[in-house]
Amino acid sequence: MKILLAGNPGAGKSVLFSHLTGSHVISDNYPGTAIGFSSGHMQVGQQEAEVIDTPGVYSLESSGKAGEVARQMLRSGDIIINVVNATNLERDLYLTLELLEERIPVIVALNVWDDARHIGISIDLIALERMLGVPVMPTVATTGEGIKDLVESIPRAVMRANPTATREERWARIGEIIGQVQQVTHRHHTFGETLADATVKPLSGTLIALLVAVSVFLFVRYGGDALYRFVADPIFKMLWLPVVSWVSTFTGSSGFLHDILIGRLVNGRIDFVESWGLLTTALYVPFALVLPYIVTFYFALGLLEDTGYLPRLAVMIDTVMHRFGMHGYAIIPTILGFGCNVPAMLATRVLESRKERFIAMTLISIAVPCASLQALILGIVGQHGIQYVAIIYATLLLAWVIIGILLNLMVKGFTPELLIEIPPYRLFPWRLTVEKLWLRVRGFIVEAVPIMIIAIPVINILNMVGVFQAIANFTAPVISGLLGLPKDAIAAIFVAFFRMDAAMALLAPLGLSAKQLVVSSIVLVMFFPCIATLAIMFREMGFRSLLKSLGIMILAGLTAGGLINLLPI
Amino acid sequence: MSMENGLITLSQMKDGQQAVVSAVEGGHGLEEKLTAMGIRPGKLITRFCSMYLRGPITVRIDNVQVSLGRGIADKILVVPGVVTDENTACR
Repeated sequence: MKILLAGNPGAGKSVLFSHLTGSHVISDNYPGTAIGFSSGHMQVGQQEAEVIDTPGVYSLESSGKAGEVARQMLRSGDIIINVVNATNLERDLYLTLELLEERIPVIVALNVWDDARHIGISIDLIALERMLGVPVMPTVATTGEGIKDLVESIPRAVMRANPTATREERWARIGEIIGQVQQVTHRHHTFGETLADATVKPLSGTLIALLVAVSVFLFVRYGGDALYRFVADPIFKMLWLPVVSWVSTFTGSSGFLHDILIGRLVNGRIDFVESWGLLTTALYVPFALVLPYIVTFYFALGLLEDTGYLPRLAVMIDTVMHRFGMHGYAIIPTILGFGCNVPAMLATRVLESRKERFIAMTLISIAVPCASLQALILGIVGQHGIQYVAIIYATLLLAWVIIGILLNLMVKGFTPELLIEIPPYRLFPWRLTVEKLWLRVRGFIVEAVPIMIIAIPVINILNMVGVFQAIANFTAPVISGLLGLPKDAIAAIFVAFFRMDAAMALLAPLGLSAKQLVVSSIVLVMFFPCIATLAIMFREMGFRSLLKSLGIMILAGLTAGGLINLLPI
Repeated sequence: MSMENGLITLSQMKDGQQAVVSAVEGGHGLEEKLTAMGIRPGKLITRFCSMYLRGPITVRIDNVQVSLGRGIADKILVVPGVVTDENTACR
């Protein structure tokens, strides 16, 4: 048996899905980003059933990718659970009426039932059931209330196969239903709503947006630093160092095996950043240096997503983003990029026009460093003083603005207007946020760490046989002449293609000055994307656009690096 | 531009003003998107707030808040109503 979840965006399908199947998906409190679908399994009575979470659509006639996917999937299901948002009954019933015209049994889950009561909407369930002719079960997906009853009622789903109606007929029918089943009691504005309103009003909204941005940065910066200093680093120094020291002595403190496992000793000691061995740097960089920032960043991002703040931010920044040829929604992929550029590139799908997507992807790749890279920048450059870190971020912001304005003027095409629904705030989404944080941290561990573990010994061997030295002589005019870096720094630029954080770590033993570190950080961020981002960009924008985008990146990276090199800092 | 028969556009409404949606003049695609979000002829709409420098306008229809750019607001024709209580004003 195949059960489909269908409903409007934001009706709570994904949360219901995770309750029904026990499997977890990343859901966000902003509409329009989930274009694909997830599937899982559940028990209905004695039967095993497959459950499919379809993309949210307002109508089966919706144009666009999500509508197409939803229509296709409908034909393959045996039962539909139509998730309806009780606070938006009138609007959501349109899809319900369309579903009742299909030849498939339907049951309605009247979700967000608690909120509806809180805001003074009362719905006569028995009358609604009678008028629709299918079972209606109230649920609160966020707490799990009513889900057991819903599951038990699945076999009661009814196939109506109503005659096909026109749009006007459906709206007229909805008018009748609403008139009979729904009563709205007027009530006063609560303090919470006044506060919620403040986040979309121009003056208070702008101030709140700045406050949010600063707090998120400070939280990620100092929270990550604290996790590193008081948890991750002590674990390595106290528990792991004795183990690797023993391995180092056991393998004779030098030789090929020692250099692969432990790496080079720095002043006769193991240095977790500079030794560059499989058991030292390959573990220390991802787990001690990067992971703390991944945890704090994704926690903050999860809160922003789940509370529903991000669409408000999109409204606040819309006017600015139009200067760069995009509308306000482009801020969401941009913020995702500070975690990892790969999901950010995928998230640009919420932007409608090719022009917008090209600009968004190019700007993210140039000016938005991922969490791994930022962790190393904070760690390595930060040792020389926070002002150098500030120069890096200021340069990236300036590059974002200048290149954004130029691209808006040069790229052909149109920029559509903003049109988004502002979801209600969800105040305490802790369970969701923590679950999602774990999914993302696990993603980092299973995807990024293996690459590090392979890349570190490979780079180590390439270094031993002198490959980088040979290339270094060839690229010296640009690296040393233009950027003022030692010619060996080319190794980092090559490595950045595989892992940005490994590249930064490679710079550590070169003994660079603070200024050289600033230049190389900026070049690493701007010059070229990592291979995973490159692959996604190729898929999302095609070969020709990718070449243009890469050209802009290389030009921007060399220009910014070269200019900083000329500055007296 | 002021319309005949008392219609104005959503852009011309004041923050905090109520109106009844009369028509959407922007082709089938736009009409479909707006209908999906609950903005369709006959619906009571409240202009809640607007951003500086001709930024997006946020409106309320039933329990939904929608933000839309000025270009879209220009295409939504409404029958203007009263400016409501101060709670909804854009301050």
